[in-house]
Amino acid sequence: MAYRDTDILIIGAGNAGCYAAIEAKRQNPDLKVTLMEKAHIDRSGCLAGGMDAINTYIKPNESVESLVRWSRAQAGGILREDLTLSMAALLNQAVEEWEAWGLPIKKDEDEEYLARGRWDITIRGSEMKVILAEKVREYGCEVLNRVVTTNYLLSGGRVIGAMGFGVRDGKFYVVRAGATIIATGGAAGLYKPYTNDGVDSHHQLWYSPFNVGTGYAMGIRTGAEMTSFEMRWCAVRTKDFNGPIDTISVGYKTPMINAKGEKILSERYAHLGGDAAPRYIRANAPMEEWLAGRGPVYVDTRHMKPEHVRDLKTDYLNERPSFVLFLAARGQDITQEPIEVYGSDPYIVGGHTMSGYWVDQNRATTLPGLFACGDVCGGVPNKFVGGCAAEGLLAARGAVGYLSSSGERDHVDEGQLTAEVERVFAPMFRQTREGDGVAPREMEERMQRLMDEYAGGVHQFYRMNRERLEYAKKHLSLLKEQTKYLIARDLHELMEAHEVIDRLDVAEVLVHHLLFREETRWPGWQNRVDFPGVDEKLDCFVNSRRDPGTGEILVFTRPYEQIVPGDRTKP
Amino acid sequence: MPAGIGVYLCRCFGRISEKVDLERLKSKVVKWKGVSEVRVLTALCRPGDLASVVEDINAGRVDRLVIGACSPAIHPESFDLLPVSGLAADLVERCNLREQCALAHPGDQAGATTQALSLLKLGVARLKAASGSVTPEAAQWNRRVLVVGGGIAGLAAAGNLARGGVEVVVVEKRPWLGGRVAQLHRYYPRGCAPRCGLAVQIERLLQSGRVSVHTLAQVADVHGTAGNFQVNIRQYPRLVGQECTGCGRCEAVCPVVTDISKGLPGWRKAVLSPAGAVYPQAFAIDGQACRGPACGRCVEICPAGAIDLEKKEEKSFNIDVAAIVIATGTAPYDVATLERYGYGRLSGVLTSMDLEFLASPNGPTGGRLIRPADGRPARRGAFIQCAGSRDDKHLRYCSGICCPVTLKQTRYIRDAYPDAEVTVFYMDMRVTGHLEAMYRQVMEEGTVFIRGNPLGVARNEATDDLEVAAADTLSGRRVLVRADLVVLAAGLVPEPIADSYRLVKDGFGFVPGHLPCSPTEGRRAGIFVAGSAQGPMDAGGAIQSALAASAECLALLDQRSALRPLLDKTKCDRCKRCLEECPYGAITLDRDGYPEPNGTACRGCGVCQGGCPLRCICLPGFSSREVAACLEGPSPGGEEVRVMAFLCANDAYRALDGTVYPVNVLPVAVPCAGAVNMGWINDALLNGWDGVIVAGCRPDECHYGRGSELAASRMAKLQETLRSMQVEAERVRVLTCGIGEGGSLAAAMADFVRRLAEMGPSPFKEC
Amino acid sequence: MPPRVKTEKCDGCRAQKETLCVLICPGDLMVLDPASGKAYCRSERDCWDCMSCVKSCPHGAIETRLPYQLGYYPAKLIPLVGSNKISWTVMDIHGNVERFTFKTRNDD
Repeated sequence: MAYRDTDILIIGAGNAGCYAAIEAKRQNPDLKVTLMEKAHIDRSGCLAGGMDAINTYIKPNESVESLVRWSRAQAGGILREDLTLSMAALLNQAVEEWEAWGLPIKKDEDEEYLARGRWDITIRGSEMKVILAEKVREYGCEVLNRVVTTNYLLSGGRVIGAMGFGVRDGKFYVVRAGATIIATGGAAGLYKPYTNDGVDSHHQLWYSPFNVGTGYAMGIRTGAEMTSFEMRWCAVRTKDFNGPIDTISVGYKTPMINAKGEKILSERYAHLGGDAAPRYIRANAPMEEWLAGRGPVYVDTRHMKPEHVRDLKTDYLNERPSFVLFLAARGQDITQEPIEVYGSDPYIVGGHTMSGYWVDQNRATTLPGLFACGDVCGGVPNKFVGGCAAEGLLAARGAVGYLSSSGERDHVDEGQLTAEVERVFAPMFRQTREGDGVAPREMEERMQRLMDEYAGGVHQFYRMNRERLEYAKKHLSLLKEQTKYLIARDLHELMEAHEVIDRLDVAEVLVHHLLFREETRWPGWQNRVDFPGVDEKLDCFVNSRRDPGTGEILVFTRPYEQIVPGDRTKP
Repeated sequence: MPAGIGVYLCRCFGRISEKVDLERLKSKVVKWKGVSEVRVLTALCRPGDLASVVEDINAGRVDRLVIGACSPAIHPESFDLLPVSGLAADLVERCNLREQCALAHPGDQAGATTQALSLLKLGVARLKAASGSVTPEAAQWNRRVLVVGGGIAGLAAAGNLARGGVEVVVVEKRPWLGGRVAQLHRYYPRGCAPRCGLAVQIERLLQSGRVSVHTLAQVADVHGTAGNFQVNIRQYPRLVGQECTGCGRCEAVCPVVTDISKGLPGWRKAVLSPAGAVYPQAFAIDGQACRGPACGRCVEICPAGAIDLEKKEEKSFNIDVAAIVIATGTAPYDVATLERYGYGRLSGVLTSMDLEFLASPNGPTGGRLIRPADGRPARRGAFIQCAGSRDDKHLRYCSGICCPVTLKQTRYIRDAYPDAEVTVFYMDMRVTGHLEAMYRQVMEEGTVFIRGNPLGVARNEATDDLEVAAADTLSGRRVLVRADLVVLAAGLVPEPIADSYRLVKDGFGFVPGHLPCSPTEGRRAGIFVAGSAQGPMDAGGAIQSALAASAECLALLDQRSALRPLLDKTKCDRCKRCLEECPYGAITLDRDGYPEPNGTACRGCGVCQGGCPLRCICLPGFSSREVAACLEGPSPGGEEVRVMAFLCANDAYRALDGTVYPVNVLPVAVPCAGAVNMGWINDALLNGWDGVIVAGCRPDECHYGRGSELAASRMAKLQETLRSMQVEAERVRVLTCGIGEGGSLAAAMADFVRRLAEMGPSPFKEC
Repeated sequence: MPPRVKTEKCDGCRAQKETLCVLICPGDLMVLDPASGKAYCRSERDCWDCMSCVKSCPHGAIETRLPYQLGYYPAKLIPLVGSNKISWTVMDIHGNVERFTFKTRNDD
């Protein structure tokens, strides 16, 4: 057992987690700050391959209010305005700091950030995560690489740290902390991606396949209040490769067209903004075209000048370099052959939509002692990289503030540790004792197909109805019971076992949310074919909480609170 | 204005100023940030001009200098301004504007001036990044040294170190000190007994009060680096305690007789006698051969009760030492492999060492030269030189001592039998120096020398003589010599030295050292090799080698060194490649697993910085910022071919001095080819340089052992990457040369530039 | 079929416990084979092709390929990593070569 005491524990050393760590040290250099990271901080999380743009930077001619109005409209009129305002206030600072630390940002002739879109600036982010990780070390934070966090450490309903295991050293880790920040990102791999077959492309996802929703799951298990899981992030992405396209089609003005050459968005969705329509429209549009027999669907790159093609490829090389390899492996000249697009598998990610922990302005969750930031934190859609960084700053301030008011450290209950050791290593014990059971991969594939077919996956064009969702709910419950049969033959497989356990917890809550919101507010993100219209009564937040004792999931609403005036569906 | 960098350009009485436009340089350099003073002087080596530099320093106008003058190889001491101005050496940068600039590009003043500007830029950048805080550190070690091997070399080294005030631990695998020399009957050429010299050595040791001796002990494991070795020693049971009075009754009753060599039974028992050994004068029992308490005759008979056959446990203990001297010596070659000579098969065929023992009063016959098997007087002796030496199938080298040994031994026979018939079969008599006289005398004494490698030794069934058949190459006749004893002059093979020391051995297992740089340091900082472990040598040579090793060791213990690579822990991933590749074992790990360079073991080769994939360890002068300044490339799209050349300071850089080489090449001195990081080359290419050269010594001549070899293998991998990127792999090259081969280096550079011009500009230039 | 280790170039980072690619892979997918002293990918279908391993290898011994589901053979994408710049060379299946060089870090 590897036991540690620290002041601030940050679970997840991705973008948000790193900013939280640095900010905590800046607030008080004497604090001990520890990060638990299941991979290696230099390349963990969504920024492993880099990033080519910051999509939330407030230009001089914009304001935090105009950001709220735009983001609100993109989200079908619902978001936490208070949280969005506090995040927006720190957006520019986070980005400018990154540049000072070494991140190259494209400038115009006046040495201002070159505007690529309304809120978007171009960066050369190939090594941005390494730059951030170095800063974390420079500030003297303790980084525990290759430690998979499995559950919170609790004392009388308060979160006082976390437990986990080392995926390289096999040790059981216990970190007791004065304040804890969860920053594990969103959840991918709940649904089956469409290029996946038995041989390859299992992880051909847009989102990081190694972000499995552990942070959500830990909160769910402990009874934290979650919000808006039904607002799934289904995105239009490059076909087959499942890679980013949004920022590029915006940045290089490539309209979406179908097989007939019709400009779908500007023709069919002009009333919703045409090519600037909300992103759920952009996700749904290609699927509608395919269903209607007018597919394939493309973003029309044929008019692009050679230097723009080079710029586009340079952008991709900074974010998902293998997309350039993809084009090369098809011998595709995009000025002759436009880039085909399709919907992605659904993700639960609080950085793009607003699924995640329900928090207050200090980013405190409903569990005392626990703060959240980044994709795991809910209520603020359209955060993207910049917003998650800003939220890291906020959560750190919240945590440091909490620390100063909290008293003596709690004693750690041995029983809790023993129970968690049993739970964590159960698949390995089972392998040693019985030598027979269910491999994590098998269970994951079963879950992914279940979700895809019954909970509105990409093969179902995101469509769902009550009957299917109930079926999904039932079988998820069965799968959860079956997790006791999981086996793990080595530590890597043990990590896979916990990934599927955590995903099941998230999927279960997701299905409850999908059942509850009986409307189709965001076609594409949630298509309730049995409730195709918008229900005014659901112009609010759908939240949930799981009872840690009974396992029962309670779903309820919370009213909307408008701060920035104006029509919420218009930017 | 705060003190800044002073740039001093030397006209060198016109030699530089006629070829390089110094005034133009001055006009550019004076605008550079951080430069507070630029002067053009007639000759910086003249006291007057130098005084004005010192004046600038003392007046607080400059706090670091760029000297743009002749090659750093010239007047190295002139710019040691520490005594007069307090300016440390690392705050003075010498830019080679004469040998490698003004004189190297005749007829191209513009080109030479541009190159000079680049060289100055590099010098200034280095100074900007220099911290000036590299102060020499005295070694803070315990003054304890381990000597492995208690033979003549080990004793000489230990004694000398002890007299130098060092605490010495001697570990010897046999029960007694003295090694092979203790087994010798006589020394050549004086014929005196080794025992007296050995006794003197050992007395010196013991009287110093600083030496502890462990016999029947061997080194089991070694960790650490110079100044801080942790050694684990395993000691085998002697089975005879300190109470032993040396009476010898145990030996007399011991029933176990062991062969020490085939054909010579009866020479050893399980009870081992110290006869002939000088220290300690106590018996020992060969635990393998002994029958144990079941027999117990020695236990019963011992009057002092010193024998305990039950006490069979091995002891293990650890010591911390600052340095290790390995004096493990050699053993005679196994001549039984020479089937035709019948060693082990035919009675009366001996090795030289066997004969020493036979002739010794402590031997099986009390010193009488008779054939042990049948007691026949050994009146007729035949010596076969080069038995298994200088032979592709056996030992390829000459051990150098077998000829004088044989000459000495002919006298053993002659002393025993005035009418002895002694024949020596030889290929070449190698008796150097003053020993030539001994050769002549032995010939005059009547020994017959036949030049021919014998075809075989056989036993005559009828007479029981040994017969040596050979072809006398001088007379052309076949000869057959009858002998009572045939002595094979066997060569020496090194006793095995454990791999855990990680010493660089030659192809035969010796550790020859690297002349002239470190004659006895085994290319592992802090580990010295003394005696015949270095190479075959006689006792005299062994003593001299041991004294050399102890001198090098004492120098290490008192070393004050300013050299230490710098590590950026925030970037380090603890991959430990630097530790593995360091030729000197100068890097160990700290508690957290980060590399900890040992300043006094560090030789400054830079192999660590060359191999680090994250470029987080580097020698002073080679930080990222300083290297980046070198590489601040030509502007993208520039027409001219630009080549960056990293030249090893020992050979290649000096070789280039005074040659005419292409002005397209910018030479940068590095400690060793192995100090060049491939990341620098990546950066050079990415910044538009058309080609990069790494020039160093040939791999087997590398001053630092493996630097050149590493440079070559790293380069080969980079070339493969370039090829897979459809970039010409010939844009990056490793060149090798010796210090006198500047001409061919310059020619190779010219050829390289020509090839690059043919290839066209670097493909990274247009991006 | 990502990623491929060229065994003739891989030296297992001198066969210490973790090679650099093992150290960095966000998916814990690279493994050092103690028998050969070289690295390999334990499950290619789980690779996200972030190319962290490719960038981290000091010898350029790792090459990312795409699954055949996605692209034809033999396209290549090879980076040359500098301290503040990177250059990517792309070769498509028709043999066309393109190069992209850009800054990855601001100068100090």
